[in-house]
Amino acid sequence: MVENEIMLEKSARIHRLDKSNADFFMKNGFLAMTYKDGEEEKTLDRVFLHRAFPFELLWKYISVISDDGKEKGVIFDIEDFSEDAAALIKTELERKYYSPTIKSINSLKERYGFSYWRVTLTDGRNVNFTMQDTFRNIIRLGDYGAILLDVDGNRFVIKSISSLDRKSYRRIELYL
Amino acid sequence: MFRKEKKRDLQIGLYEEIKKILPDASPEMALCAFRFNLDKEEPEKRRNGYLYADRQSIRVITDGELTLTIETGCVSEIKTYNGVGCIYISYVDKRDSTEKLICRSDMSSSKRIINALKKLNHYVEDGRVSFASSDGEDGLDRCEKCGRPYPPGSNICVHCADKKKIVKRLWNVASSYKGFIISSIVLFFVVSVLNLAVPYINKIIVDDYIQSKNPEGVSLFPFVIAILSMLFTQLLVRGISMVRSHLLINASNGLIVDLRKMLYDKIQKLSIAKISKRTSGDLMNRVSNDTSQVQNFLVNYLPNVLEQLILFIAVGSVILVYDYKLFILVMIPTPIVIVSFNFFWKFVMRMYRRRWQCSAESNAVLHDIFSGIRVVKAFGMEHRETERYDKAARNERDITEKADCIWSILMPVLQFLMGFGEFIILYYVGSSILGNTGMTYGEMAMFSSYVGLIYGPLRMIAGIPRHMMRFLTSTGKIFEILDEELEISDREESVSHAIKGDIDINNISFGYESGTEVLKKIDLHIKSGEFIGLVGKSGTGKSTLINLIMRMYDVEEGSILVDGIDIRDYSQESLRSQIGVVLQETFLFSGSIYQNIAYSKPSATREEIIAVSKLAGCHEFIIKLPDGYNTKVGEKGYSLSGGERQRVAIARALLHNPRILILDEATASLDTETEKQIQDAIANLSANRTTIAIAHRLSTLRNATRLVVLDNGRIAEIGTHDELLEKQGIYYGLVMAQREMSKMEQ
Repeated sequence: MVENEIMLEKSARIHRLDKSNADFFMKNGFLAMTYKDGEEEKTLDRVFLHRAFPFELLWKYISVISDDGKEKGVIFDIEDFSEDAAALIKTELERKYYSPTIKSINSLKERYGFSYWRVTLTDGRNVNFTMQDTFRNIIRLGDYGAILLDVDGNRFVIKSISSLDRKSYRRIELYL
Repeated sequence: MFRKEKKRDLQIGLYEEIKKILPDASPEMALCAFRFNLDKEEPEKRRNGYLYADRQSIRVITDGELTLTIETGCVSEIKTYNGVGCIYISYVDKRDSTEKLICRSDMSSSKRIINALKKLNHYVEDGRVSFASSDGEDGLDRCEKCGRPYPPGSNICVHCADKKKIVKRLWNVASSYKGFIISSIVLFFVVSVLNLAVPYINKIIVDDYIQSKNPEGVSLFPFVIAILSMLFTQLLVRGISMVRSHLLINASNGLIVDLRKMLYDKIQKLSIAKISKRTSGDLMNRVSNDTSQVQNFLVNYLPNVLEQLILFIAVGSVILVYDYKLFILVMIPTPIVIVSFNFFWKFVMRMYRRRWQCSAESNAVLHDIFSGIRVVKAFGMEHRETERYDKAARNERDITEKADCIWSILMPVLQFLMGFGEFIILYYVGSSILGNTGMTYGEMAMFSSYVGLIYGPLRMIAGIPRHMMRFLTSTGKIFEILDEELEISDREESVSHAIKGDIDINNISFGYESGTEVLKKIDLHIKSGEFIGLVGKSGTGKSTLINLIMRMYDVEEGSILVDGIDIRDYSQESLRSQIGVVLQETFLFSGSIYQNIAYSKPSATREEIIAVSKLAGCHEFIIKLPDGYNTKVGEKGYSLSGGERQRVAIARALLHNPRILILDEATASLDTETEKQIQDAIANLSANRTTIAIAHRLSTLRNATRLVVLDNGRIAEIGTHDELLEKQGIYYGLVMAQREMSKMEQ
């Protein structure tokens, strides 16, 4: 199995990035990278990080793409980097994948195909948002969590549905 | 009017906030102003921020402090980048060409930000100030009244729409059926009155004849008359009901056909831009489901409700006139019935919606398995798929069981409640009779019937708001399409003339969405009879350019002239009837191959059809089909391969014999040999007609007089094949890449 994985990795020419061949730093507010291209060391002033499995693996399999849209490599695990670089990658990912966490659902009404949510977030804010085609826009995260996509493109996370209070659970239950 | 006021209020609010920190800020001088709400560095941190830009500087206020000032003259471009759930705004510094982050916001205001940045971008790119709004508030896609978003592709808020106005408009559309509708309403009254008469006659029969105080004085004849009058009343009720239904069905069917026709006509006239805002499912829903919903309400629900309502009022009045105490007693359970019925309905609907969802899921699993049965079998996954379906079916079973169980418990309770009034009558009237207060057995029977009549309508009345809402929403959605403004419409003095084929594209810019220009300042002049090849990577705007020439969309800036006349001055029919198109994705209508080819020229002779088919290279395979040119294609028809469909579509375009021929990846799905045949056919046909062809396979364009290379929405290179190769630019790169590919394939 492991051999098969290595073969696949080689044949698909996945360029694995780790601390031996790449490093990250901030420049002009963006994540920048130095990497080895053969013997030569090159710098990219801005790189884009894309999670390959954003619903399952938050810190693994992260594609690093340059400004011209070309993949420079894949971070298999942010732990393959130094503590500082890993922290930068983590912050950059959290900044790009902005999804506040829902603590409780205070009200949920549905009318004409829209559902209107009033929730409290973990940072204490009360937020109203609207969802359309609610069933389809609630994505289950494994057995426990869920992501809610609103009509504007905002994302809200429920880390564990079972740990919601009873009222909140009853409100969302219909859609699960 | 209200929209404008609201916009002004929002604008004033925005600038008031900005002015607290930047006193010189003003809407008149602004190139751009918007709010943002996230910290640019810390992922989760919220900010209360504003960006204000004028010709001198771009300034950023964060939490009440000026945190960044950039000289507008030092900016070469403003960029936006969509994260996931957030948007970044950055600028490119002219001095060192580096991109620098300005601010970040969540998606709630992303559309407004993009709109607001438009004017600023125009200014930094070429120093001109456009008339676009600087504050982006005109990008409102929410209801001004309640702040809720509009349904996609719609600008009617289902919560705030003026319901009375909607009904009034439907009444106007129904003007030709007013006679039918008014007569049927009158008949409703008649039926209700007659229904009321039946228990009264019954009372007379009981009191005056069956339980008469003076049995000796009763003669048979008036008794028979009373029985017959009851029979006659019943017959009259049935007869009038039949006439009334007939009238209503006529009126509603006519109205629905009219509405559907109006909708269909309107959709045909709408521009591609407007149509593509909505899914085809949504449009079909409006034409078929929403009109059916209106019809169902008018034919089935409204008459019933009207009848029951009239009955309710009439019976109530009769009881009130007879005995006000009895009336009060009868009315006591009414609110309980209405409230409990509504509560029960909501609860049951919730359950059944869950059941519907589960059923939809298990159906989806089935659909998935059946359509992918070859894959399932090929990978030996039958067992896994069976388990998957089993799980979905078990889910559905559990929820159905629960829903049915609740239904079977709650329904009898509700029915008991609804029949409760009869017990009150029995008690009240019974005790009156026993107490010798003058109440008769006939009156008791009459009141019992009346109470039976009064509780029936309550169920209906409880459902009125729900049904009304559905009806009004559907009607609103129908009028929304009918009210849609035509973006592309013929001018009053539009011309229809035989096109020669000169095309002048003068400095056009265009984008499908605000803020993103797909084509930028395209300037291209094509002479009649030229064969132009459009080349470039995917997403560079080739198909968009073709769409603009066909006037599927109107250009935002610049103009397109055909034979020196702006295409907006042509009648759409005249312009498009002289342009032939073969697209990459061919669409064949349900019908025979013959009908599909003849679509572009219904008067074509059989010889013409065969001739163009031979030219297009489809005759050979059509003739071998058992039904030849009569073979049915499209849905439920013979399935043609991609290449075969393409050739039929080419034949259709060739039969059209257009002055301007457009080929959008027309030969992409053909093998090299067939492509060559079609190329030769096209070469013959394109003589003396203007041809514009898009192709990724560059060999397709070998006959082109000129090649136009598009890159990032702009014309990067123009010239013949040899000239461009010599230039060693983008085209050269593409040719070399394809040569490499074909070498590898060999």
